[in-house]
Amino acid sequence: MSDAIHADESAPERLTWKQICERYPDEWVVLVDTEWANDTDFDFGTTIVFAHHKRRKDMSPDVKSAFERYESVGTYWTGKMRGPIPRFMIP
Amino acid sequence: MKVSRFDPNGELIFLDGRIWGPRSARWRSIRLVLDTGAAESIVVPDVLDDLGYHPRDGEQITVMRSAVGHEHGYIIRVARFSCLGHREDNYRVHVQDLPEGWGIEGLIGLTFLRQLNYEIRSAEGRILTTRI
Repeated sequence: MSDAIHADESAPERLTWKQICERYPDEWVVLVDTEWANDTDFDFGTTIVFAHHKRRKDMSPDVKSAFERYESVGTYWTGKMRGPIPRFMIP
Repeated sequence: MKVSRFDPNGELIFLDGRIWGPRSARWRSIRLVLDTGAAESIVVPDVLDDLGYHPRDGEQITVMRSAVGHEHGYIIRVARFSCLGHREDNYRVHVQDLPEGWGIEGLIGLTFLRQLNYEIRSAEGRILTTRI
């Protein structure tokens, strides 16, 4: 079953990041129509959760669908983030 | 001078980054880790695929060495990339998958940072940057 939220809802609910984390704990969320505070921080007023998924790779169809209606899309994990950081080599 | 904020109590320094699609005004915002020990910036494949990039447009095949072996990726130039309030056009990134459990979709390396003078103020959770 798709976790996409119907994009044709007449008045989609706008949520803060705190509300999103409470409603969709430990999930990947696809955000649209985000009211960004600036271009330097992860800081916004409210946004619309277009879709949410347990796995990152499952977001792709919904991200593509969101781009058909919105110029910008954000994808974020609502749980704890961590490393470690990989290292590269070029053959 | 630009000022970016991060959680000083976080395990790592997490930042917001934006990537623009090829030949379009579309952009995607993602979470990145600041890594001054990495030469290159990394983005996971799905992010670029969803924006309309394709591996065949890549410049070079890469290999990531990890504890479990080697993983292949590639280098590609994205139309525009921004982080810390600074934009870079035709920016070169490594496209490489990262573990789902990390909760991030890439990292910022020195190819981006060396265009800036930056001061990481850990106790305040702030990064001060100016373009060189």
